Formats: sequence, structure tokens, C-alpha cells
Amino acid sequence: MFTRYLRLTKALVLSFFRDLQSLFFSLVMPLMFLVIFGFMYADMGDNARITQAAVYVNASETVFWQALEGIPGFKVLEVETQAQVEDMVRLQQVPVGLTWDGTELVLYTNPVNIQDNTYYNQLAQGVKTSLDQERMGVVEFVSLKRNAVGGDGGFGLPFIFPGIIALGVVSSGLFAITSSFMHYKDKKVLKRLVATPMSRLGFLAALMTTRGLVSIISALLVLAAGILVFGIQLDVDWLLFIPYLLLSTLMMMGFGALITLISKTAENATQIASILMTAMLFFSGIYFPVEFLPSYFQRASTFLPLTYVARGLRSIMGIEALNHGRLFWETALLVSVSLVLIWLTTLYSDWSEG
Amino acid sequence: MKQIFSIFRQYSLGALRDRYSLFWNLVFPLLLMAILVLVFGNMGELTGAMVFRIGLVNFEQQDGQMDEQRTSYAIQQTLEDAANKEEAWIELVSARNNKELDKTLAGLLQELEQGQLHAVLVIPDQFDGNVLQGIAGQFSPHVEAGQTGDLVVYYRRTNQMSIIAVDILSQIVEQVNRAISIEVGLADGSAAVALANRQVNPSSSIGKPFSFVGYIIPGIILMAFLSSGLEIVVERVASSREKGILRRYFASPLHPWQFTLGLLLYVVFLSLVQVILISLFSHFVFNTQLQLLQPLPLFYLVFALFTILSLGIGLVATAKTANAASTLTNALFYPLMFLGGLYFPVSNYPFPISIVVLVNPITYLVNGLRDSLGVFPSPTNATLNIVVPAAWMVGSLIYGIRRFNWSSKGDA
Repeated sequence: MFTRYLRLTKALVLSFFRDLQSLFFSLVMPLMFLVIFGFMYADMGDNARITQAAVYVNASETVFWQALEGIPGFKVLEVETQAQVEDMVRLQQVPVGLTWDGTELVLYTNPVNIQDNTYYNQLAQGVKTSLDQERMGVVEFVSLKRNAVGGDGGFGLPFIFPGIIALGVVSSGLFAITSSFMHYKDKKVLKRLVATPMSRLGFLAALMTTRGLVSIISALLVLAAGILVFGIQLDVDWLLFIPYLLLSTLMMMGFGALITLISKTAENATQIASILMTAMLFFSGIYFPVEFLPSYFQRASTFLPLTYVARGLRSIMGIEALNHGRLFWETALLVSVSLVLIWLTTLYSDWSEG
Repeated sequence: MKQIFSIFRQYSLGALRDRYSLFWNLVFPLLLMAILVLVFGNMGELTGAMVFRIGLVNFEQQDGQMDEQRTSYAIQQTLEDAANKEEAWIELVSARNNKELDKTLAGLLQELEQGQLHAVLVIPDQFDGNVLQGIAGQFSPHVEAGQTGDLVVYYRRTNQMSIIAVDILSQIVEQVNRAISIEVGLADGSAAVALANRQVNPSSSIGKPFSFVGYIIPGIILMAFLSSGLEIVVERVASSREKGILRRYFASPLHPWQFTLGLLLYVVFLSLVQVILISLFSHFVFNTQLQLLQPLPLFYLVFALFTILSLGIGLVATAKTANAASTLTNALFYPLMFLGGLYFPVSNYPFPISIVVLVNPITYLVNGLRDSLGVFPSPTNATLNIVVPAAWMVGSLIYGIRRFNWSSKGDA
């Protein structure tokens, strides 16, 4: 029986690697997203990030330049007039502008740079604090010591990195049943399979193994690309990481099984899975915090398995703290539900249909 | 002509019967627009619209007494006042039991780690004494100068709300330092620097205020065009070719050019419906109306659609199988969409991604469309907005016509 299982697994692995579309969604697309979002979020929230600023000064004080030098985030581009600053920001030639007339510091931002303007405000606030200390003689009697809790990651690329890995897991897990299983059913492969000594559970076990393997390859590719291209350093708990990838693939397969139970054809199942995957990408907090969404969408995120998969991966990769007990119970619950759904698929899905 | 309409009718009826096609082509663009506007449309007013949950543990209050002269009292009072306002931006979670503040702190830190709080501020024991010592150090040679009262803020680096909360607390601390310095005569209040934040109006050249909805609509329209122009043309033609449907069509009196025109007519019709729906949705839901029927925007819409259709023809000529066609379409769809500036500006992308942005025809099409609609001035030259997509259109058409085969086996 074990030999049959191994042979079937080998056949499914080969079939996966011959299918360009499956290869693209499970292995190439996460890498593509890493490159696109990686450059978008690189160094976000980090002082090492350099922002080019158009600066116009209409005052003789050197104190302003000293204050500006103290802020490592600005790369200064001095211009002749205040209007030039405004134009350069308006035409997106620089993301931010500053003018100083001896009493007022003005920060010019472009509303289209929605994600970055909070960061530019912080930089300007730093210049103002420095100017106040020099000009007013403000003395620091109270200081604020910052202590980060719950993981070593910052908001930005490290935060979305597990989300990109989760994307590969979703693709391989969710589409394993909705696309592969239903495709084999449509092509009457399953009908022929039930006529052989191979059991239904044996087939599903081989499918799970194949897709678990794909999830691991996808995650390792994304990790390697993250380290090589973006220099990301993560404290990955490998003992938990690999088993969690397998379990999360299983969770997504369970979700796929639920879709299969309500779909008639492979095309229907794939379409529903695509719609749900898109919804999960937006509402699971993997590319932007769900707190930015209205409260009803925040509640919706608690029903999506990707929310838990991404959070679990963030915890295992040392980016965000999550109580191990909570991680265990959440995972156990989702895996149990998935196993039941997959079992129901074997019972209620007619394998002899084509 | 009859044959052309017959193909057009066949595709239109097929689309109407397929609820998933209806969803992706007609509903999804509206849904995406709503999501993007909900998430990013109000980000400028984020701190004004959101409530930060901040935990406060004041070890200086351990004895239960609060001296109004103390700095710790002033800080706590500032936070409580902010929390008690009608439109409060802070929800303050203070220690309930003054005798067991350590336990309270541990509890609050746990809540912070679990995401129930955005920050926890701790006013440590001896804080007021240290502040007083710092002040005394400025005046008396017998007291060591430079002593500060150190507040401690705990936060989560992975949460942007938490980071903003810490920045707000930093500003409060700065105000406290300024107030003390002025109070004890060390600082000159009149020399304070005023910080003003001015958002430029990117649409000032056409005399309109900037609107994120207006900015996003051209992006959504081009995304819909990409979806219909690439996915429908490439995937349907490749799939019909592979299944031998096209070969059977052309065994009938139907000519390939009639089939092509019928399919193009369907895509143009679908795109028209998409534009109308997006316009109506933005008008009724977001109260935004764009002059899409003016000559220049209309030119860009037609130009964009035909550029994308040409890309589709180039793709379908490249792919030998339906599977390869679908994979190629998706491999091109995401970079064209995300690196074409449909939703966010892409002018600040670093090398080598900037190269993709520069050669991407969508970058120029969306810039030209936004500029022509007066919602956002084009960061790229007006000539380039025509020349680059036109080069892609001509190149793809020449390549597509030379390489395209109606038969999947290449024998037709």
C-alpha cells in the first residue's frame, strides 16, 4: 500500500511540474510579489531609508542646516524658490519638500504618496525638535525610552514577507482540491482510479504530500530570494516552520474541500477559489494592517484562514509574538476542521462522475 | 457582417450566462475600487479618524496621591483629557489597582503583545524626582546636570498603528519639555518654531482639488481593460484553438478576419460596459464624476484598449498551448498592473524595478489618461505617453501577425 502511495505521489509531483499554470501560481507568483512589494516596502519605518527633499531656505541662520544634518533620512536638494519646492513635490520629482523662513518650517507633501506621508511627517517633526532645542533653549528633562515587544520585525518588508510565503501556501493548498482534484474528476481520472486497489484516502494523502512539498519549495524559494535580494534576516524556528507549512497547506486544502463540496465542475471550483483568494489577500492583513479597514471588514478577517496562517508564520519567523498555546490551539482547530472537510469530500463527492 | 455579429453575439451571451465572468469583468473592478478607497482614501486623516488604545501605568501614583505640581501628574492629565474629549483619539487603559502596579503592567504588556493595545506608557518610580534633579542641575553647580526623567513606552514594531501611537507620545513629551523649559526660564517661548504641513494640490494646474477616488478611477478602468483585453483574447483564442473549435469555424464560410472582428467587437463592447459601470459607481457611491467623454480622455481610453489588445495578440501568437497562454497572461498581468502605477505612484521605484516601470506601456497610458481627465498631472512627458504605448502596439501587432497560427499544431 505504501508503495502505491509513493508511486501516486511521484506521479502527482511530476504532473504538477508539467503544469505551467500550477507552477506559476505556486512558485513564480510569490516570487513576483516579493519583488514588486519588496521594493515598495523596503526599509519602511527604518531610519536608514533615504528621502530626497527639495529644500528652500529664506533665512541666514545656519541652525536649520545643522538641524537637517542631524536627521539621517533626508537627502537635501537645495532650490532657489519656495514655488520650486511646491512644483517639484507636485510633479513627483521629489517626494517631499521643506521651506524655512527663520520662524516657520513648512513640510510639503503630495497626497498621492498616501503610504509614506506619515513617515515624512515624523522626519519633519525631528527637524522641528532639533530647531526648538537650538533656538529656544529647550532642555530635555523628560525622555521617552522605546521598548519594542513581540518579535524583532518592523512594519514593512519583514511584516509582509510571511504574507508572501502564505500566498504560496494558499495557492498550493487551496487549488490542490479545487483545481487538481476537480480536474482529475472532470477528466475521469478519479473514475479510473477508484477501479484500482488505490483507496480514496490514499489518493488524497498523495495529493496532500505533493502540495505540502510544493509549499515547502515555494517558501524556501521566497526565503532565499528575500535573503539574497533584500538582505532580510529572520529568526526562523525551523523545527516549527516546516511542519507549520505542511499543516497550513492542509488547512487551505480543507478550505478548498469546502468549495469543492458546493461546486459542480472544476472550472466553477477554481473560479470560487480565485474569488476567495483575492478576498483573503485584501482582508487577511498580509499586505496592509486590517486596522486600516472599516470595522466590518476587520471582523470579516477573523473568518479567513489566511489571517491565521500569516500570523502563525510571522510568529514562527520571529517577526511577531504569538503565544505558543494560542498558536497550537488555533492550528489544531483549523487542521481538525480541514480534515473533516477533506473526509466529507471523499464521502460526498462522486468520484465516478466525469 | 452577419458572421461578425454572430461571433459577437455568441461571446456576449456566453459571458452573460457565466456568472464568474460577470463577477471578474463587471463586479470585481467596482469591489477593488471600493476597497482601495476605503483603505487608502482616508489615510491622510488616519490619525484623526482612528482611536489609539494606550495603556498607562503610573508608578509615581502608587501611594494613591496625585500632586498637581508633579510632571507625572501633568502627563497623565494630558492623556486623560485627550481620552475624555467628545471625539477622542485615545482610549486610555489605566492601572485599576494602585497597590499591584507590577501585575497590572504585566497584564497590559500581554494585551499589547496580543494586539489589544497599541502602546503601554510607564511612568516609573522616581520619575518626578529625576525631573526635579534635572531642573536643579541647570541652576545649581552642586547638582549634577543632565539628569532626565525617563518614561518608558512599550510598542509593537510590526504594527503601524503602534508606531504612530509612539510618535504621538513623543510629541507630548516634547511639549512637556518645552513647557518646563519655559516655566523655569531656560527657554524663550517666542522663538518656538511653527511646523506647518501643506499638502500640495497635484491637480492645481487644472484648478481642481486632488481626489483619491479621481486618481484611482483611471487605474481601475485600465485594470478592467487589462483583464478583458489580455485574459479574454489570449485565453479564449488559445483555448478555442487548442480544442479545435477555430479549425471547425474556418471549415465553415466564416473567415478568420470575421472571427477576429467579432471577438474584438465583443471586447470593445465589454470595455464600454465596464467604463459605464465604473463611472456610475464612482458617481453614486463616491460622488465623483469624470469627463470621460471629452475628446482627449476618449482618445486615451481607445488608445489604451487597442494597445492592450495588441499585447494580447502578441501573447496568443507566442503561446503554443492554452495552459501556456494562461500562464503568460498572468505573468504579464501582475507586473503591468502593479508596476504601471494603476493604484500607487511608481516614479520612486529603485533600479532595476524602475526599468520595468519605464518600459511598461501601462505607466504612460495611465499617466496620459489621468492628465487628460485633469485628476493628476502626468509625471511623464506627453509625447512619451503616446510614443511608448504606440511602439508596443505596433511591435506586438507586427510580431503577432507574423507568428500567429490559427491551428495549435501549426498546420493551418
